[in-house]
Parts: sequence; C-alpha cells; structure tokens
Amino acid sequence: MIQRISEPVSVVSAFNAHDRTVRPISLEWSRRTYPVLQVGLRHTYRDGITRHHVFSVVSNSLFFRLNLNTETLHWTLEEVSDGLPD
Amino acid sequence: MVCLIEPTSHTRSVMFNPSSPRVIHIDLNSCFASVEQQANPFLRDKPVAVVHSDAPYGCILAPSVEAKLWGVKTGMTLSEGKSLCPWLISRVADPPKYRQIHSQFAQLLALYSPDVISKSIDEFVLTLPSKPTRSHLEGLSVEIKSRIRSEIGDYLRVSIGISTNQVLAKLASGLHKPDGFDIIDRTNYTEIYGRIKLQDFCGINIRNEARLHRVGIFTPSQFYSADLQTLKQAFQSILGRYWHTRLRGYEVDDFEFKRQSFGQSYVLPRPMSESEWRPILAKLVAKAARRMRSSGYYAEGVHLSLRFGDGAHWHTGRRIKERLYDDVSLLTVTLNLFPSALQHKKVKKIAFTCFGLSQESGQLSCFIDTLKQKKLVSSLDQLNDKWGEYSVTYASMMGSSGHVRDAIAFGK
Repeated sequence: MIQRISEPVSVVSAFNAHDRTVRPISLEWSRRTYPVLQVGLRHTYRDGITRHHVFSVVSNSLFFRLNLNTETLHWTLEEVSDGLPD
Repeated sequence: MVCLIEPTSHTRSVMFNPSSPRVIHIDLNSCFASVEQQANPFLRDKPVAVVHSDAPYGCILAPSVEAKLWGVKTGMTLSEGKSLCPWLISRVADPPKYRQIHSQFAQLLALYSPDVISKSIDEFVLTLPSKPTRSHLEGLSVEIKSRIRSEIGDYLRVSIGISTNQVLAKLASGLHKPDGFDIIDRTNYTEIYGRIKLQDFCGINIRNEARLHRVGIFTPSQFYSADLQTLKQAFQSILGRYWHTRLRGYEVDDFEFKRQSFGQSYVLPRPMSESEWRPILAKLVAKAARRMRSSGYYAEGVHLSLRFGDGAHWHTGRRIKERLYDDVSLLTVTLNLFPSALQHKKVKKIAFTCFGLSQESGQLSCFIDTLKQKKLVSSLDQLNDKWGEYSVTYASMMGSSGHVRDAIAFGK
C-alpha cells in the first residue's frame, strides 16, 4: 500500500567526511521517530533553478520518500509505503 | 569503421569476422522496475510493474524480472497485468530516478572506453580501444557488474553481450537475461545461430521475418547461409546487404541518425470533448516546441494524430512555408488541421509532431519582426528555466494542469 503525502517532516541527517556522503539518520512522522536503516537510492532533480535531493529510505517496516529542497533546506515527506500491493 | 567484404559461396563458411570482439552491449535488466526496487527494498524479489498511470488501463512501461515470470509484458494495461498476476505491485514512472541512474552508468562506462554510445535509457554500447583476449573480456565483465552493484545500486543487474558488431553484441546481451554475459565471435557463431529464432535479432520484426520466409529462410542458420542476392530479394532494399554484413560480424551500424522530428503524445484519462482536450494539445505542443528550441531547431511541418473514443483513428500533417519555433504559431497551424466535421467526436489519445527540421540560419523575415518574437519566446523559456516548467504559460494551456507529466520515450 502506498500513501502519497506532502508534508514538512523533521529529519536528522549526517555528513560523512570520509566518503563525502549525506544521509538521513532518522525522521519524525505522526509523533513517532523512525530510524533510517537503509538508503535505497538518492537521486536529484531540478525544479527551475532549485535542486531537490530525494532519499528513498526504509525504517523497520515502512518505506519513506524524503525530499530535501536545497534552496530552503526544508525536508518534505512525499510518500510512505509498506511494499504490498495497493 | 565500416568494413564490407563480399563472401563468395565457397568461402561463406569462413567469412565471419576474424577480429577479436571488442563491441560491448550493456543492458540494464528491467530498467525502470529494477530502479524502483533499488529505491524501495520492500519491492525487491516481488512482481512490480512501472506504469504510466495507475489507472486500470494505464500502460505497463516495465515489468520487473519477477513480474515477467508471471507473463506480464511491456505494453499491457495494468488490469491485464493484474489478471495474470494478482499480486502485481504498480508504481508510477519517476523519470528523474531513471535519468540519474542512466547518467551514473554513462560516467562509469566512460572509464573503460572513450567510445561510449547511449542507445536508450537502459542500453549502452562501448567499443574497447584495444583488442582484448577472451579472458580479459570475462574479467572486464565481472568488474563492470561489480562496480555497478557497489557504486550505483546493489540491486541493479545488467546483461553484457560482446561481439564484433553492435547487432551481435545486443543479441549476445539477450541470450541469458537477467545478469547474463555472452560473447559471440568466430568460434561460436554457428552454434548460437543454431539455437535462436529470427526475431531474436534486433531489427527482425514480424514483417521482416515474413519477408525472409518468402525467400525460404526460416532459421538464423539459413539467414546466415543465404547469399547476398537472396537477401536483396527478401528485403528489396539496402537492408539485404546490411544483414549480409551484420551476420558475418562486420559493423554497419556505427553511425548516428539525424533527428527528423520532435513529438509528444498523451493518452487521456477518459474520452474528452474538443473543449476539454484543446488545452492538453496546447501543452503537448508547448512541450515539443521547447525541446525543439533547446536543440536549436525550427519546424516547417506539423502533424496531428487523434484516436477517438470509438476506436477510430484520424491523422494529418502539413508542410508550411515559414519556419516555426514558438508555441502559438505551432498550435495555430495544428488546430487548423482538425476538421470541423469531427468536432463532435470524443478523443482518447493525442499525438503531436513537428517535422521538417532546420537549424538556425539568421535569415530575417521582411514582413514579421522575428527578432522581437524570438526575444519574447526566449524570455519565456528563461523564466520557466528559472522558476520551473509551466511557471509562465499561454492562456491556451489553461485546464491542462495534471496532464502530460514528465516521461521517457521508448528508445530514448
């Protein structure tokens, strides 16, 4: 089941200077904190001159699509799913 | 490098290209679906279909390897796919993801050869600069697959085919999908031709197969053994000579086609009346025109194709004397193509194409201030570059919001 959302979300992220990568560590959604256990993919796209970084991540049993707007540095939760058919 | 050698009948069996194979075809298996499975680990090892829209009649663009096992194929509707596999998980296509993976592939492959050609969003051909040995090719294949997994995505699998020309390299890449590796060269081509079908060759579709049947060719081995005259008779064109050369491992496909047109098409969510689909046509025209302008072209012809709700099809095209580049002119000419007699019919699919392309010449019109027009169009393009696509649009597009999303055309 997939749920498309578009709401601001609190995200803790970290920059690793050794491999020069940024990744979300945890996010807070619906008053719960979800640790990010795996980043499946990070991709980018442009909306006008603003670049967005999209992190496809999983916590224990949920998938989250997180969008970082590099102009505002705001995170948006765009999608939550459990990997089951709709 | 094109090398045409005419074998005679008595030398035919030894005429396969004796060079070391160094053309590598790399195909990302079930590209869009694999990328979705890479992004979302919960989708891995499950039947997934990437669709254009998740409506029941939405077209399946790419089934995953697991969905293919259930018989789900590209081009089916989502409801057809679900009737074969009730557990099918659908995901709407997300082009930026696929473009990023494509770009990462291109960067990785450029480390192995300066001669890398992107054949489509999920296929690359690279030609090695040196003449490698078979063991070197095997090592190279393992290394490329390993680096794709470690540097691009651990779930991404590619099939690699190596031969002496592009068509045979592509054939080799399709012999053992997914995650395959095959070489076709002078040592094994007869064995491989003996176990495949004519339509396994890229370019032999059902119509070309029928042409070959007409001259008594039913198998790839017969195709290879046929003399040039028979193949010319079968294809009635230069294709006969090309296939005669390709099958012997020589290259005839190392050239790029010149672009002939820019087009956009869209399947409407439901059959729509003219007042409803006009803004959508305006959006299709604007999208194609913007791509055309960014490539530095003008159009001297437009073509409109409509499929109606009752299944009927209408299309027409027209060449014009002026060179068009802006949305308004292209849309005006296109709408003039549509006959009033068909205005009552509801439309299900729209396809717009502009053709007759020419490059910027600097020629000014005596009657119209083209410089002023071009500046206006250029300013609008710059605004949309800065603030995002469709930030500024013509009023003719009002009502098209939500339609004509970003998509990747087949073969691009």
